[in-house]
Amino acid sequence: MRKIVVFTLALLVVALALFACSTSTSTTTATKEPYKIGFTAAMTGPGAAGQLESTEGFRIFIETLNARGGINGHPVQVIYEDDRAEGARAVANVKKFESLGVQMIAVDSLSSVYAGVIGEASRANLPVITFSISPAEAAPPNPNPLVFSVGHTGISETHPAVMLIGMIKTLAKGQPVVLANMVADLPLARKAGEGYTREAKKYGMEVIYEVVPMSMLDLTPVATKFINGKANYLVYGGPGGPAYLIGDAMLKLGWKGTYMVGLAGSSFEQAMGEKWKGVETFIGQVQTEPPMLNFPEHKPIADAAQKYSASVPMNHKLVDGWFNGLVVESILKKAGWPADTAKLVNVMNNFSIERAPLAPPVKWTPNDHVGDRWNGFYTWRGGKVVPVVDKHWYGSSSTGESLGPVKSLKDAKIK
Amino acid sequence: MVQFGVNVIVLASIYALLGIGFVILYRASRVINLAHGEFMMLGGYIVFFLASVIHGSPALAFIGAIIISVLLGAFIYLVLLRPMIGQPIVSTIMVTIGISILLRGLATLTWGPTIRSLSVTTGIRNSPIFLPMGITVSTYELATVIMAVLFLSGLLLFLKYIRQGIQMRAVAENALLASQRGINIFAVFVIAWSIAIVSATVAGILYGSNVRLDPEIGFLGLKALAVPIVGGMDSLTGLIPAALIVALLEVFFLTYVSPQVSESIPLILLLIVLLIRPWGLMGTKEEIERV
Repeated sequence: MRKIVVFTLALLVVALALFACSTSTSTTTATKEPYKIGFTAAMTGPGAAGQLESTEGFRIFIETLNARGGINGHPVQVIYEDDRAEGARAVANVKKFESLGVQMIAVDSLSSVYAGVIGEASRANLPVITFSISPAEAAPPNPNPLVFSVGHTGISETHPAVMLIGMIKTLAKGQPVVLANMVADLPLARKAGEGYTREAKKYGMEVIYEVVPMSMLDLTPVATKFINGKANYLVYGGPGGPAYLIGDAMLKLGWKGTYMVGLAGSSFEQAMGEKWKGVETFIGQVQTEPPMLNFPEHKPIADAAQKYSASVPMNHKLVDGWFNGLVVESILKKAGWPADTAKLVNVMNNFSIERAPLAPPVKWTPNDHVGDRWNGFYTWRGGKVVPVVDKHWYGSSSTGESLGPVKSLKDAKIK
Repeated sequence: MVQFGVNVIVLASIYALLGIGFVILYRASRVINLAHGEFMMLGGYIVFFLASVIHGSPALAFIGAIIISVLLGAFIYLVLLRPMIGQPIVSTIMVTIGISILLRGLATLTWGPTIRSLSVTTGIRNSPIFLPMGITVSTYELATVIMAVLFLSGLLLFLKYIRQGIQMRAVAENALLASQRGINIFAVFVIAWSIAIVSATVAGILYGSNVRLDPEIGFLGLKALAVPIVGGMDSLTGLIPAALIVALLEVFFLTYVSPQVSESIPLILLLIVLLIRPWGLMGTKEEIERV
């Protein structure tokens, strides 16, 4: 009996040792040390809708990248933390990332977190790349050396105004424009609203300006004001919720004007594909070509979303996040291994990437960590989603120079 | 100007519907239900759920939601509030605060923060109706006004002519005497809670179809609390002028001053009335002194 027990134990020990060797061997040959990125995002909370979608797009890109072997054998390890668009949480996340030895901080949240994140990352000497919204710290002519932005909104006072008002001017074809300009009572949203007003007045447009608190439940009286003021165009600056509310309020009051549906906080598909399906007076604004248009290049993204169980539907925000991942891959590739802050910042200071046909190009220089922005405009016509005009992509430089319109993102070249 | 008036009447109607729930419960049990807004939100989500499951039959979804509301009201009273008998009123009010937090959290977990529109789910569109004098009102705005009138009228008739309604008035007058006269006051409380939750559900269906449905709309309940305070916590008829006053001032400030200021108007009014005339326009002075 005793011999059997000893023999069995010895057999078990040998089996375990063989297993451990095989595991460690496979680890050694399969992966090198990973690039580490700390990713703080508004995955839940009031700002969650759009940011969660683009974060998922980023995640499935990284999963796809790692499945291909990473970057020269180095996988990319991303540590995701939810900040609920709260500054204190985001700062705590950055501290955690620093303790885990990340090489870069990525942010996909609302402007409420930026001051804290940038301050903490600067203290830790870590480069920051922001998605969705561009902080002022990345803007020319003297950006924070560590802060870069792929944020689709661009600089609040500049990019959105040039793109949106430029497209309205194109659509108006010389007819008088009375612009209903509604913004959320948030710092960057107000700046966007001021930008819209300034740009609109440049073209002789009349403006009815309203700032509404995010807590406001019913925008019917605001819609009434706009309609009484004979507004024929409507723009909105701010997170997604009020964008839906004002559109509904205007429609139920029988308004026949044009709503430039800017969806910084949510998806083109939810608004134009579901809620306002078939509404030909509403024009949806996108930052990447929406999957509703079924470009062949959407297929690998859709496949990855399915393979890696994306928790959100396939939509233009998820595509946006995918292409954010492409930017990060390119940066890490150029930086090589090991990638410390100096190398990463050096790469990012002289960085450019073409992302057509689905996404616009990105270019950063030492004096401009934001670069150009492009928005596409689509509407319903004859039961289909189509470009609102032939040249339906409108661009803006960081300094407010108009770059559009163009017919496709292939024409949106890096200058 | 005329459209301004329409907006006031629509807002007053939803405030009146919500105010009914506050008054009925206060009259019956002296409880101020601070979860009333969340019950409105829940009512909307119940319809959302039922309409998603029972395709093509919004009427069934509405009826189902009303039935569930009646049962929910009974459940809330029997399980959560009845055990509070003998406890200070403030403890009971704290329980309602707990219910409100719980409901909001559950709604967020279950349906997420996305702003929805019940009109999309039910398929009954919120279309504009063009009336004379340049007035435009939407389908659900008109429904809100009609339902507020019908509900309030029906309730007043119920309290005046129907046995259970008369018993509710007796309990509101003097609960001890009513029970000694053979009235089952617990049954009265169950009916009161059911009526309150039904009124909240109706408000939730209409608001969720006309404006929005998401976990945040419970805040409307807090704003609506100003209406029974202004009108008198124990006065159903006081709801009418109070709702019009609150809505008029809110829409006025929104239109001519600033949307940010308009948000706090109901709460400022609430404070002013409590300081100057706490029994409200048509409430009973003795009631407030006793509280």
